[in-house]
Amino acid sequence: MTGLFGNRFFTRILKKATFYAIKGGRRSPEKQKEIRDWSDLPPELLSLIAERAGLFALQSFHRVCKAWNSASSAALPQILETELNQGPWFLLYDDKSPKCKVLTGSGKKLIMSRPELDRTTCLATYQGWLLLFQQGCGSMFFFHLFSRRRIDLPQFPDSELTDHVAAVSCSPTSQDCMVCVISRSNDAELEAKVLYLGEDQAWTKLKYSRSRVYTGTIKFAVYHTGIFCFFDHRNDRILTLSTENRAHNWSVINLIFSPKNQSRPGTLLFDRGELKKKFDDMKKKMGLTKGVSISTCGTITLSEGLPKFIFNEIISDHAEESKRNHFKGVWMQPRLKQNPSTYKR
Amino acid sequence: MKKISVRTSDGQEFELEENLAMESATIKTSLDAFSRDDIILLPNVNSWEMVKIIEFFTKVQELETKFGVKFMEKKEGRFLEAFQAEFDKDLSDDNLYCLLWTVDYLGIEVLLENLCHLMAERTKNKTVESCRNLFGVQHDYTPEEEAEIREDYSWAFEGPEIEE
Repeated sequence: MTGLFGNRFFTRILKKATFYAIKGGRRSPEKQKEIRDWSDLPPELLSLIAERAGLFALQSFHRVCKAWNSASSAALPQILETELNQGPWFLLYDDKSPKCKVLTGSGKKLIMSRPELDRTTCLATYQGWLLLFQQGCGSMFFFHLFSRRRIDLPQFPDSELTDHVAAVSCSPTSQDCMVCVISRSNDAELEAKVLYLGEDQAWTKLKYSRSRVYTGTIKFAVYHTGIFCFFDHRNDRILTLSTENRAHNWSVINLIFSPKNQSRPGTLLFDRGELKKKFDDMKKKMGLTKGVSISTCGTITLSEGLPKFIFNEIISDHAEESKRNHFKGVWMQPRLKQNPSTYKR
Repeated sequence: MKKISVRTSDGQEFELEENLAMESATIKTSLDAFSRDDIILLPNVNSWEMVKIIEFFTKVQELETKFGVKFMEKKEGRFLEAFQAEFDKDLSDDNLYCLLWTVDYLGIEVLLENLCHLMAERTKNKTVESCRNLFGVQHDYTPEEEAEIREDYSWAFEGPEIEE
């Protein structure tokens, strides 16, 4: 009878077996407390475990001991990949509490203290950045939800928000960042306010008065390759503002709709009722028991490989108390950098 | 279906169906070289561990028949939620520890995934202290070192509610 211990197999099996055999004597389940040492597990195994524990466990995991700490770092890229690719996150806050709640794409709930959000309305997001307008003083600023970093913007010309909708071109930390806020200034006119973060000290106002051509109500804005696009409640046409060389040309584009299963290159998905669909479920997850109303700020996310626009919404329970229990909701598609040290305060 | 014989460290012999035995990369390697009529010695596997492994395979086959999905081929660890709850009940931390080593040695990917997931579940929502106590890990950080790394992942999230 031949056994396992042929020369040929030394590197493949025996070496590994020897490694385990050394540990073997300690592995008897009868001898309990004194032999158990989880930090002795092979690093690859510890990393696998760290990966499955996920981003939220990392905070404790990485402090247990040095072996677990290395395993955490090794597992981090995979953990981030997994956690951030599971659909958009939803932030919920109100004026009554400094604590806000976040529901991640994978269904985990976080509670954070963010007094910086008090009395603010979110007009747009870019990854972890929120574009916030503060009622009362009319100040506009960028706020990073996780690192709590704040970037103030020049004084916004409007002191109150009405039907304002906005979009951001890229991270506000970049010199090329552009912000565009659009609102209806009167029945005949739309007004866009543009800011080039790296260059301007003040907002540039641009009017659009061909309202016979475009009479829709803007519900969502997005930026794409030099153009700000504004979507109305009808969706069949979009209003665009190009920013190349500050030429600021307005245009209207017609959209073509195709059946869901026939997507072609360049297809986008729209969702005008993302929260409406999930309203009851969302309320339960967020622990909201009474009648509430929620106004949301949408975002761009990916769904089955295609870009999906989640529109701004206002949802209410239509109960008497709903008006009093008003919450702000923000859809977010965060991407956290691989190198976390840039986020240290 | 051909049966493969294995002998564990405590002298017990088990018969595995060939396709299941091949799920172990270690056994597969030795089978590729030697005759399948020989008994394979597994000096690092205890008989109770072998029982657990066979239990796992049996359960997977049951579920595959029930749901008509080839779980093993997909190498999808986490579908077995119902099964895991069962597997988890009678597996103490020490047993889990031993089993992790063994399954890693045998190279059974699917089972390893499940066990890592089990282990990860046991660490969830535990504070650092509880993790150390639960798993008997030596605290090898000095207070200064620990203070340094304390802030390391606070960039990600602050204060998910943690149970003691």
